Amino acid sequence: MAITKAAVVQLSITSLIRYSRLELHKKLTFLFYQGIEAGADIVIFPALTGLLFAPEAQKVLEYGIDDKTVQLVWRLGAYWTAEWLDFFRELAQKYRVFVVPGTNLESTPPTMWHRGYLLAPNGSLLLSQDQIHFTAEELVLGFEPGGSLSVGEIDQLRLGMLLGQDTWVPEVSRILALQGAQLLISLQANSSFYDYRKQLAGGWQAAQSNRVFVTESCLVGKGAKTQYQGLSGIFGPAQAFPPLGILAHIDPLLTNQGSLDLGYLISPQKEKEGVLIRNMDFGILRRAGEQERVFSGFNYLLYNKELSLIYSDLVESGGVEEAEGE
Amino acid sequence: MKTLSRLVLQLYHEIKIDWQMHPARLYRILGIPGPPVSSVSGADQPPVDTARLALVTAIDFAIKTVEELAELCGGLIKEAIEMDANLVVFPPETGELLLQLAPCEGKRVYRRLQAAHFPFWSGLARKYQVWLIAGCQTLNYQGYNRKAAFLFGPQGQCGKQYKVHLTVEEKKAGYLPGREVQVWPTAVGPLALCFYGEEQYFELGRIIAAKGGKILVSLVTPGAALQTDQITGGWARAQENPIYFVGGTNVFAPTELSIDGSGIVDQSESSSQRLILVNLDLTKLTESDQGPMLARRLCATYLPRLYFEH
Repeated sequence: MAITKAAVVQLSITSLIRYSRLELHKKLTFLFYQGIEAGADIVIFPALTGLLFAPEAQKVLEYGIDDKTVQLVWRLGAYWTAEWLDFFRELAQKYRVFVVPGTNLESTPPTMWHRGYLLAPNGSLLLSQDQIHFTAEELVLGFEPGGSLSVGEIDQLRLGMLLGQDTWVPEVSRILALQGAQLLISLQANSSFYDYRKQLAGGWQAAQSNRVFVTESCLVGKGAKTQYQGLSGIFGPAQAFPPLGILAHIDPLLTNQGSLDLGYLISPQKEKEGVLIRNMDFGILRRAGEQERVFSGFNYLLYNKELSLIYSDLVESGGVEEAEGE
Repeated sequence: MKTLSRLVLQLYHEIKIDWQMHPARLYRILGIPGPPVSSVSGADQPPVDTARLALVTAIDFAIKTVEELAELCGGLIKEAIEMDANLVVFPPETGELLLQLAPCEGKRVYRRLQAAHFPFWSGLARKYQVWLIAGCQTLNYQGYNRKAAFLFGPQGQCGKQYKVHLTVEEKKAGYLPGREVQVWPTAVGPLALCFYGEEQYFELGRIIAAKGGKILVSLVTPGAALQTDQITGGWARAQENPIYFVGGTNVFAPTELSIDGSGIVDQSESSSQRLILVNLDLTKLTESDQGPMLARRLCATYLPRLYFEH
């Protein structure tokens, strides 16, 4: 079964504290069902959706991740992880679709992982991915960067996941694309200022530079001491999907744009809930041959020499090199 | 008989161009003493807080003599210096300006005119004691073509950057890619050059930043780049590293360094001015958000290996 239509959920946590477990399940099922009704083959939930499945974990969403979160995740994480995955596994099996249930925090003290999953229509686990890049503050809180970048395969379609900050590190999407990924699933729970420009430098950029599809699913809304912002969207290469490669966007204004506006733009949608649905024609990507055009420009000798140095642990920071002729 | 007279005429033109473009004559026209001191580097450049660049918006000169060209280019450079610029960026077509003086078609005449590019522009840079980016040329070496961009320093030094990312069409046409990326210490700070289209590769930005580059100048004709290409290219590179990107009359920076948060320092597509002056704050650039620390070990697991396996 191949993926042709994706449903991307932008999920709000506003007023979450007032939801009972049953109400929460109803809310998630309702969002999921919107995708199913529209004929989606894959339904994608945002980062940290797993934390909705226990009152203690909800507090992490409400008050933010702190130095006690590792212990909490270690003590109780297994319980809510099981409940979270079982809930979405059931939906996947019932409606015979692929499901990205979002991400979760998992821990073995003193470290903690931010991990995302992809479930098959039979409920089995197809792919899991740990976030690789964290800020210095997040590392202090105990986050452990992932050690590999995996690509899942469904029929002849390969896909990979971009978690949190990884979306803004071009190496991550390049590595996945070089491994053959044609669909990159970006899962976000951004608790700092987020706008359209940030998106242009992240998910949209990954689609353009690798000529692949990228979906961005965001957790949004206000917690007691947190505020999550995001702009969910589905992107493709602008060359294959003119004019901008924005196939669907939570803000209809941005979907209909004819040109990119880098000016100040407040989107009222960045804290609202919604589901985006869009067909993804992977045949167009292949036929356009755009990826070959870009990738054929790689300079192997140069990369072999310079990138090996840059990614070597020995190089901490570069200095200006003397200009020498070739 | 006709062929013979054509050959004689060709030879006459070659000799004439040789004389006209002789470095000694060019230096005399420019009013500077002999050739530059050899192998002068810019390594003694003091650290720069603010870079002042003058961008030449158009260079549609119709010239008949090299004296005329020297006067027109000199006028622009003088104007830039009066605006306190430390570096003047000429459009990519500048590299072919001297070819207008070719009295006839012919490889050897073109080659002689092309070769005059170095003494002419290095002479201008010395005369006005300024850094110049003076377009690009296609250089032929042992039957292979390479595209080269030129940077000239106030002591007459010349930096050459070959195009390192080739298009399918360029490969088919027999072009060879460059094998190195240069970063030069200049009066406007550590600077690198690239060709239009190369800024689409994040790898280039990474290499330049790792070599300490703070400003990347792409040789693009003002107004030629599509808006999406600008954002997927120069704008994105400025966000990832961070560096300043200058391409045509577009100047991009990390978003937090621009007043409105757009990352656009200057963008004047339809400027009627001949020169645009841009100030780049290198101190702020150093203080700007560097983003999450790159997972080098993970990257090294996959790159550059995957480029070869793909």
